[in-house]
Amino acid sequence: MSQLPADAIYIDKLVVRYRGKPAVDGLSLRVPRGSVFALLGDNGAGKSTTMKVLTGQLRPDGGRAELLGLDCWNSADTLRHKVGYVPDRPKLYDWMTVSEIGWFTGAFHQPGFRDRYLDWAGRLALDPNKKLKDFSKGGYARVSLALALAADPEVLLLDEPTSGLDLHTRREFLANLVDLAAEGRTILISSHSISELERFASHVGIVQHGKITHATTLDALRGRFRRVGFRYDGSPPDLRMVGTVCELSRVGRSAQFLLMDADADALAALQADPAVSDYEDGPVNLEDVYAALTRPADHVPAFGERNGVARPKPEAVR
Amino acid sequence: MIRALVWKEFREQVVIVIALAVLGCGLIAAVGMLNPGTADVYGWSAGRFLTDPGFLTFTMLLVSTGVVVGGTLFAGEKERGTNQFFTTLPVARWRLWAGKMAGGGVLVLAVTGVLFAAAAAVGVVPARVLPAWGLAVGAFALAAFGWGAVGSVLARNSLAGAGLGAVFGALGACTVYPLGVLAVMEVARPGRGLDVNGSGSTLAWTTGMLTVFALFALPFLISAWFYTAPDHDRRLRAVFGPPPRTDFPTYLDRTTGTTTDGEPRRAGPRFTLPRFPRLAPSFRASAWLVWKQTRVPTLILSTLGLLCGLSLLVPDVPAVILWPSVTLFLGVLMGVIGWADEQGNGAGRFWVERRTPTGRLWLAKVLGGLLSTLAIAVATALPIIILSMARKLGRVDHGSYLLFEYDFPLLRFALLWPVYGFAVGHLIGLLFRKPIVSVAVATMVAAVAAMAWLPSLLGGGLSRWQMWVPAAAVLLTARLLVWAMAADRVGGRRAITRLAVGSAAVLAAFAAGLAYRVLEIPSVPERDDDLAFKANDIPPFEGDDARREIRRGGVLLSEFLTGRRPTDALPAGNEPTPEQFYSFAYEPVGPMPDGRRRLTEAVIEHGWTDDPNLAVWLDAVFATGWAEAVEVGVSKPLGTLEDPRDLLVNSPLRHLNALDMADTLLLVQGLRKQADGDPAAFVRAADTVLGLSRNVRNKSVLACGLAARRMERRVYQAVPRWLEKLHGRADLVAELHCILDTHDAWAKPDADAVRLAEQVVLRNSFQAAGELLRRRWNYTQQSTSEEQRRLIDVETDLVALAWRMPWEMERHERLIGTGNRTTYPLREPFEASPFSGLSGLWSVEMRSYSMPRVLDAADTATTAYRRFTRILLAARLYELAHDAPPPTLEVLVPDYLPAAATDPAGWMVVYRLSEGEDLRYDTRTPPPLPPPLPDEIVARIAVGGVSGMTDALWIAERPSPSDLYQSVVFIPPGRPIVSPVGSVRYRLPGHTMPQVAPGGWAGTLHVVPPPAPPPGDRP
Repeated sequence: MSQLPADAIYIDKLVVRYRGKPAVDGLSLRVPRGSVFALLGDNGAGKSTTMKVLTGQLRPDGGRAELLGLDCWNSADTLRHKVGYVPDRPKLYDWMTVSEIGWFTGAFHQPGFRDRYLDWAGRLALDPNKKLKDFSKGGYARVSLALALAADPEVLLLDEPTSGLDLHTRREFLANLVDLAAEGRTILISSHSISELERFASHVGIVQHGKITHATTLDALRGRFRRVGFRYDGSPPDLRMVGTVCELSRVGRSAQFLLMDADADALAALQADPAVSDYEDGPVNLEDVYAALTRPADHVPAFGERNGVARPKPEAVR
Repeated sequence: MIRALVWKEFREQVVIVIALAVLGCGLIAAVGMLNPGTADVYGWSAGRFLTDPGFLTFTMLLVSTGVVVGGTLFAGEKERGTNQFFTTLPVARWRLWAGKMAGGGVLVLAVTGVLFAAAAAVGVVPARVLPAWGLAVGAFALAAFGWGAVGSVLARNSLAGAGLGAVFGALGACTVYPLGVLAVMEVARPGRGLDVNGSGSTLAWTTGMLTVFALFALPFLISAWFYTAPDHDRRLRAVFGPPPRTDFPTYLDRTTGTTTDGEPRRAGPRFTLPRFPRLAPSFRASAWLVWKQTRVPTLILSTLGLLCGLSLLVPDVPAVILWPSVTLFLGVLMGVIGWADEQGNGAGRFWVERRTPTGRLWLAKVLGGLLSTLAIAVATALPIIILSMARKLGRVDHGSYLLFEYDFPLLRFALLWPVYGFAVGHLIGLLFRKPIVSVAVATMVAAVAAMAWLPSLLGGGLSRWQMWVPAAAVLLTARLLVWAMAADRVGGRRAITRLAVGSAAVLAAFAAGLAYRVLEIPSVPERDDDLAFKANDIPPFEGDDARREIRRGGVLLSEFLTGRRPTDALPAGNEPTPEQFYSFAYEPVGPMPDGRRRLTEAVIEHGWTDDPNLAVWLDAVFATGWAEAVEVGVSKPLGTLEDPRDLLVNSPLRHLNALDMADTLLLVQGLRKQADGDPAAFVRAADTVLGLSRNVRNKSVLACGLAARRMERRVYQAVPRWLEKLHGRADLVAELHCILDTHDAWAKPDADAVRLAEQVVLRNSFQAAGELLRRRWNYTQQSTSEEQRRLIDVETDLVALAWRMPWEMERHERLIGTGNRTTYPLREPFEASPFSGLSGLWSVEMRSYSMPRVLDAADTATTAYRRFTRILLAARLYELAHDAPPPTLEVLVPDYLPAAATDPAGWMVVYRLSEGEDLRYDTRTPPPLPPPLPDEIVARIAVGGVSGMTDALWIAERPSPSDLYQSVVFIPPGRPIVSPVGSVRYRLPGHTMPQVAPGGWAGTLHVVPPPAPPPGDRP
């Protein structure tokens, strides 16, 4: 009796070391089936290493990593038929044409690969007779994506696929991903284009120092943050009661701050304060959230200070 | 899948493979034409195979093909960055490995087949049993391919893969294969292992052979094991299983608050350069960069060089081939690796983007690379240096006869290859992105460039600037291209223009150096005189009866003296082999009992002794008929005993040596017959000896000229002994006087003829380098082993090939013309000689330098002897006619002498009648000799035995050697004393030390004519 696992990706306490130094240090992650999971993190946080473990290129030094219920390392060959992978800097055989690279790769895949590849190549506007060395970065990335998709994968792993691409190419590429997501495939994507990921990602995970610090749905994450702005007369109001101030900027008597886990009553009291005018309160974008959660800060700013950023206070891990 | 992989490998490596096939065929064809292969190699030893240029080239090409293709297989993916794509293809790794190996193997076999066909066509591979050879060659190439694949799996780029493959293959060839084969042979031996019954069953042999072939599969297994290591690990982990799953929430909201404050700071560079206070900081930084980039490659290549250097200790491995190959390749690697970082990792753009001074970078790279290259060369030479020091020898007898000759420019030869390898690798490394392509191209270019100087090195007299200016031009050309490389514009018009200009400069430097090789030797008008001399003056072979008869006499005499026939060692009816021809056994001259030699010489000095044993021995000597043959020979028209056309500069003068004792024996026999009552016999003997000396001297080389003069003087030494016991017989005295007149008319100075004869010999020597050098390098010794002879063959063939180069041949033509001239226009006459590097052949130089002096000295002495002997004979005739000695010499003219007697210097001879005086010899040190010869040359003359200068002229009663300087000889009253004045005109009555030879002290000449026996004693 086989039952499809609920999670397309299951990573538990994953450890990978390079020359003794941990690149991934106890990372745990679950990616639900059909989700578009954006893996965010600074350079060197461990995103690409995690991707390589998932594609069976790296052997974990500890923990376990599963794709579709199969061990990523032990069942790498099986999984490569079910998983599409686009690396951050795809490097193919430049001397081959678009058609030839499809034929060559198809020789290792199951039947139907080449037809799907040519189909995708057409959809991605790739000239079959053009050599890869003649492509720009965007074209090259599209070839790589076509190869990844031609296997008709259940899971698509995209490791910063849009890095180095111009704006239009990047948007075109991500638009294709939206289509794929609509088909119900599971997509794990890491990228620095957070604002563009925000358009179609359903889940977000934040990696720091080889660990997942936040993993949740995009809506839930954004719902915890608010951006508030107002003008004041006299002495500045006391903001300690409204919530955790993550970011604060003050110009003259105008103030703007980012709040996490705001207290609605305290905010209402602030808005009702006669010394406060031009009060504004609105949602924040993912980039602000990410910056607030990952930006290091020395201290929590007091309102009396001119500008400053604060890191949320450590909370108990659930 | 396999088809796709084979297609991919073919597409990726087809250019390399075609290049290898085409260049390999060209190389094999060239080597095959220059070194015609042997049709049959049965019985060859391993060393014979390894030292045959054709087979060695073919083998190296197979190894190169296998290692390059194998080394590119997996490392090439990493180098191109496609490894991630390739290894994430959805198949097991062993399938990828198998597909790649199949593709590579097909390519290797294809190239091997082409090379094998080329080798078989030009005769490098024997035509017999071609299928068997094909199988062996294919297995060999595949083994190299397998080891290349091992390196490729472990390396990150193709060059490192091929390099590692070569190292692994070499280690395997040194350890695994010999041990495996030995073990198999032991197991398969009759009576052992599988064949305990000793019946020689085919099972044992078949098993053994299968095991041997299995050894060739070893590298394939190793590479497969390493490449499929992830698969093994997966299977292993599948057995033990992953750790148990744990449950954790899908959505995390975790903030750790970790900071990086506690992390240790990364340590700075551990290496700090020594202080270079005077160097610019940018240069110091460049030097630091070069140090960081080259230290590990230098260490690895030094280790590799050390391993290769160990093979130089094997006696039959030709160092003259191994050293250039190894050090040139290591130099190329060092040159290419110097740019690997900039080319492979794109670090070159850093120099452009930062607008940094590329000149300083280039300078640092050149200096650092050269130092590294020298360190690698030293590491390669280390084993042989240590062995040499351990033996406390200035040379090592292993590995080369050529390189360790005393005067060979060993250092220049040793540095030529690594420096050229580095320079060309440095330039080519700038032009190609892929290191393996750079190494392949640079190796070929550097080999051609360095080999351009090999003939000149082997020809001697090569200046340093000629060698190093082209290498410097190559490095400067690289300087012009550094910016283009960094900016990735090597293919641009400007870079190509610079490359063209630099290449033209390099070619010009080569052309200038080679042209100077020729032009530094003036083309004298008389350079071809020897050709006319050879054609017109030397008596032709046909019809030279004198030569034939005299040679026959010499053979008979030497047979008697040595006690064996010269042809005893030869197979009946066959021509002598080279070994027999040059062996001492064949030499017709052997040692003569020293006592009899001294005894016969004593007869010349003191007169016939009544020793019955000597008489018996003389009867035996003359019973062989040699004297009659010589007499017949001298009666014929004048011939040439030692024909210059047959000689090289180091040929033994066999016919002359055979007659070494002939003159003495003839004269002694004459004196003996005089004692037996036949005084005319001496006259015949003197006539024969003088005739013999003319045949020896006629149109022949310097050594023969000197020997002929010695023979002639021997006659004059014996004449007083004959006169002492001659009673009356004015007819015989007159006859001898007439013979001397005839000889005097013939014996004119012939320095020109000698020079031309030596020129003929010199030309012969240039055209017969192989024979010349084999003779030099102990080929004549029967004890020389087969391996040593192979080594000698290799080196002599190399020199012969070098001397056939057009510019060297033209240089030799010019040297032939100027080689024997006294006023040599060059800075150092010896350095210009092609023999200067070959010790033991210095006699060529000596002849050219000292021939006029030596010949003049010998002529002076001989002429003095001859004139004074004629005075003796004239005085005797006068005494017989007047019963009293002539009161003065003037009374002898014109009846007894044609003209007033002078000494060789042209001064009148002093003549007086003794009043009964003691003739004393001066005890003072002889005055300095004008002009002084360099000590080195004097020493060489003494060692070399160029005699003829130091013969003392004693005609008077000779004092014993111990009385030489304190001798007092009483001259009775009334006896004449004839003394020369000498060139220094130094004379005192009774005390005289005249100089008769300008080239050296020739002794004191006093002519005291022996008195005629009283009439009562006459028979």
